[in-house]
Amino acid sequence: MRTLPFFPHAAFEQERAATLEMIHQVGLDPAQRFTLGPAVAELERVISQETGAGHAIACASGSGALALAVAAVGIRPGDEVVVPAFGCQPIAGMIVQRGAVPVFADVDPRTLVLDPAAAEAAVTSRTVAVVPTHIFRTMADMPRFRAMGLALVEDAAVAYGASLNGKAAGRWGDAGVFSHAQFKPLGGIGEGGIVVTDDNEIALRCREQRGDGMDELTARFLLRRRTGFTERMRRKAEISARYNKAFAPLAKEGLVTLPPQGQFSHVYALLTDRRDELARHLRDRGIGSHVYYPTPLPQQQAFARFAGGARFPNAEAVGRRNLAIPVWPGMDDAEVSRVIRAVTEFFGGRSSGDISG
Amino acid sequence: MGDAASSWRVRFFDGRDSFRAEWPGIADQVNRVFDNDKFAHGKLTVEFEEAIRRYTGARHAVGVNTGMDALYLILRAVGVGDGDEVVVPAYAPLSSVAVVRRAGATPQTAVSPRTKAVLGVHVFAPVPDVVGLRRIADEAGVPLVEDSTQAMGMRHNGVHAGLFGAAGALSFAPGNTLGALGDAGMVITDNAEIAERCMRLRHHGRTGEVPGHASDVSSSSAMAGMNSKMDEIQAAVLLARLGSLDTAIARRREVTAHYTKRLSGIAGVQVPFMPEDQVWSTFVMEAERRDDLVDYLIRAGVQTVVPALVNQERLLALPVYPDLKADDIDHVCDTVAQFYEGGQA
Repeated sequence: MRTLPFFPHAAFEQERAATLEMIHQVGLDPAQRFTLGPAVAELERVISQETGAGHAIACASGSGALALAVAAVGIRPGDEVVVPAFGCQPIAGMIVQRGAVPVFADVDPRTLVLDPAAAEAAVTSRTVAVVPTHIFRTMADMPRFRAMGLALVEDAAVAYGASLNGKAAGRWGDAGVFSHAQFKPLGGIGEGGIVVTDDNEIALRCREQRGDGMDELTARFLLRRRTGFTERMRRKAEISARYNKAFAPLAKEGLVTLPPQGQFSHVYALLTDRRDELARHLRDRGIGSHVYYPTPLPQQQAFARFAGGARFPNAEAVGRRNLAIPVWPGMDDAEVSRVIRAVTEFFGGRSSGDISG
Repeated sequence: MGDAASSWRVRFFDGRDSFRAEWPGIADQVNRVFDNDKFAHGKLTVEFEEAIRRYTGARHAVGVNTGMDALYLILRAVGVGDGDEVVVPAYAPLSSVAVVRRAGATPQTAVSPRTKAVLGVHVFAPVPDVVGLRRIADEAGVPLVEDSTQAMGMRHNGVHAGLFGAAGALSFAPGNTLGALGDAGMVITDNAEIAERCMRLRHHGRTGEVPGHASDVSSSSAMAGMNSKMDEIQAAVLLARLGSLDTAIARRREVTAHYTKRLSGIAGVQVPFMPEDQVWSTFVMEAERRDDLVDYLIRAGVQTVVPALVNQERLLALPVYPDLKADDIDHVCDTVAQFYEGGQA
């Protein structure tokens, strides 16, 4: 029985030979283009087409894309920008790098994404923008943020391929941002990011500022990995649906599952007061897990000076209670059952009805 | 400038012959990346950092995404920020100036009370008077930071470029003396504190992370940073190529010696100085009627580049790379000679 790591092992193994061939081709390319060449242009064309965005601009990383978008929508040094208190560092870090001021707002305790009411309450006369982040398998409430009338940067770093009300993730903001690092939905063999926008001016500013941008090799690999993308995402959604169904009866034991919103299943996280015990229980059974963002951004040393000691009870609670369990396309049904059994057993429940798949 | 691959007889950069020779070693290293199953900021990055420490003699080396990111992180790490000033050469590359601005500072050409750092730039020119620069920085009580992005392999009195002051930025862009197949850069320094800050800043200011090792808890940040990780495949290529760097530099010296011999007598051309230290990432000469010469070279199938400098009206970079063949060098020189001596007004 193999261990089930949280991050999939050897997910690119079947691409090894093809990648070596790609590197060989890039090295012997008669045009000797290594960055921002024809493969990057083709990737941008494909991403525009798949999302329906007027423009796609590839760059060196998801954080780099966020930095480009933040500057291009007109956020200036000294401006206030509302960001979620629960999430990954770039949401605040790229605002700070711009010289602007991140203003933290709490997240919804059920969906873990930025709470629109909290965001509205954080707005002052100096606020110019809001940056909601899609988390795990939930898109932020984009229609509400759209209605705030501020510049809107959509952090869709983990949500490539998601959609809400028929509109692709990334398209709800004045600019939207995707990451294509190894473990992202459309993950690559290095760092890479993309900004999408319908605004010609924003697109132009992103293009002017992106520097050397994305490597040709990264773009070639991502183009190749689009094959099978839909099937991989379908499998992740299927596993998530099995988890949801199996764990629903455990609600009375204090296990909370998250409502999907936006039709994507990047990360499957559970909420429980017994988080650390559950992680140990799973580890003892050869099942990996991951705790996301245990310390809310405003409590991290890097960003505390922007929070003025304010508290964010939902972000703190989610940080204490979340545990993400394996959900990767290569898991077979028996392995999914094994995870279900281990979680169910921990909460003292019976899992006999859950393993049928 | 048409970019159809077939239209150039002499490309500005062409590393295909070297790549063919190096391919088995590159493939071996890339296979190790797949074995390790981590594609950025992993074990090969750490190995390459160690290899660069050995090669340059630096105590610390921090692998990042580009040479310009390396310079930006150094400026941040030595405390340059909003409202500060950085002294830059009057004859500076636009890229160095842009990095100073990116850090929120204003580039100046003289020391003032707001000066936070002095930037020395080793570009196409000979190694600048680093001792003099160091003295200016010391007198002002600020660090000397080196843009050594075109100086991999360059030593002056035995000290590798980038190590004369507080820290130096290296670039492994494809056309450089040590080139990747995409972007990669590195900070080198003997200062542990600067190295530590750069290591944090390159990955969102996170603490307690070990490249190549997955953690089961997301980390916290001690300072607002960015994402500037080195791709493992680029580290693989660079590890495979480092062993032939000295040979590649020797070959570049032969090419530029050939250029100098053929071009130095031509009225209208001023060839660069030939200090022994120079590694010749680029060969930049001064040329009268430069733009006409560029067009003339294009018609002869020679691709050149106008360096992006603050002050560049007469400057032109000729192709220089290890794979450049003798008859191609002659073709470039013949074309330049014809332009100036053959009545091509």
